[in-house]
Amino acid sequence: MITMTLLSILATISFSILYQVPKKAIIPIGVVGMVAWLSYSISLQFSHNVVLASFIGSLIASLLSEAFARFIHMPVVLFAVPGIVVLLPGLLAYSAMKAFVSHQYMTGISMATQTALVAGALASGIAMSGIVAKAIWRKYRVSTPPVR
Amino acid sequence: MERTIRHLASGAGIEPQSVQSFVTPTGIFISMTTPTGTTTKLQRIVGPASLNLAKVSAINDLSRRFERNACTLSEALHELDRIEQAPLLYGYWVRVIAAFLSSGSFTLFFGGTGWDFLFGGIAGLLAEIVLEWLIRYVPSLLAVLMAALVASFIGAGISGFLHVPMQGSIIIGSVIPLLPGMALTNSIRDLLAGDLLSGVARGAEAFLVTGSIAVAVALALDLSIYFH
Repeated sequence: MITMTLLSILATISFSILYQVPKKAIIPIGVVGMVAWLSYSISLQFSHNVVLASFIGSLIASLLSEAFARFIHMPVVLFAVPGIVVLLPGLLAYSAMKAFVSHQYMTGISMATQTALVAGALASGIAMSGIVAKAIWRKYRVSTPPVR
Repeated sequence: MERTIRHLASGAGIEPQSVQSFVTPTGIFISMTTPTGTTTKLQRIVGPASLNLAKVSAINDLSRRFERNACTLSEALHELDRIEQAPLLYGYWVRVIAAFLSSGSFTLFFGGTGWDFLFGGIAGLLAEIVLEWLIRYVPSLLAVLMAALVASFIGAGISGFLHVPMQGSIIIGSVIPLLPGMALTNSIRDLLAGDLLSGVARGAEAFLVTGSIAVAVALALDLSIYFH
């Protein structure tokens, strides 16, 4: 568990370097990746449902990204995309491909459907967090007196 | 992008309603109404687009500063030139090492053990080198296909020779950095925001890139099954 958590930080940070992110965003991106992985694996242990766990992981990680984006004044995708990359259904997609090339088309189709569902859950987690964060931010701004 | 144009317009003292912009991945259309008339401009986007989030972040920052009138127009134009000329934040070797580390750690993530880190990392590193070399000469889709082919052939080869128990982990780890995460996310955000054209265009791009990676992996797997 601890090894995987450290690995998720390393994977996220080195992936973000390939995307040329600014230097002061690197540590927050590592934190987002770690939170994504932790919330995914914890919710997987409770629910035993990969799609649900992916959605929860992606939602929590993107909410954190929204917070970082407003705190450091940088676009949200800069934190959210490298942060969520550890949740990508790579093994599922690979198994689907492998089933297809060995002519097990039914297995392949079921795996590919599951891959698409997980990818959809990740995407809707990102999208939903944007809406939630916007609502929270607006409420927060209205309730505080304007700063001059 | 459209928001950036709105920030810039309001910084220049133009009513938000009188500036209309329409941005797609292949062209930018701007129309601006001032007391002296309406100006329109169409800018086609050509050439390979490279992913540089440092630039995106810098331009976003600049447009907000301009909106707050924290800098003048000539300063902003000068800054824009500087951003455009700026070299990549991380040099070639840093990117190659980052590709090694990320592919290696993804290999362990997807069920690899111990030495698989090294093999996955090497496959990912070579994929990155191939990608960066080819993207200068061929369309990016083809470059991704070739890079994914290199990565998955090396992955399948190493797993075949060394009888790695989880053959997939090396292949998956090495192709993960090639996935179009940014295009896919932007596509869904655009679609939800109602920018249907831009969303579908980006979605098509992401779909093609993902498809070419899948084809490369399938080819490598096919060959490895054939040789078994």
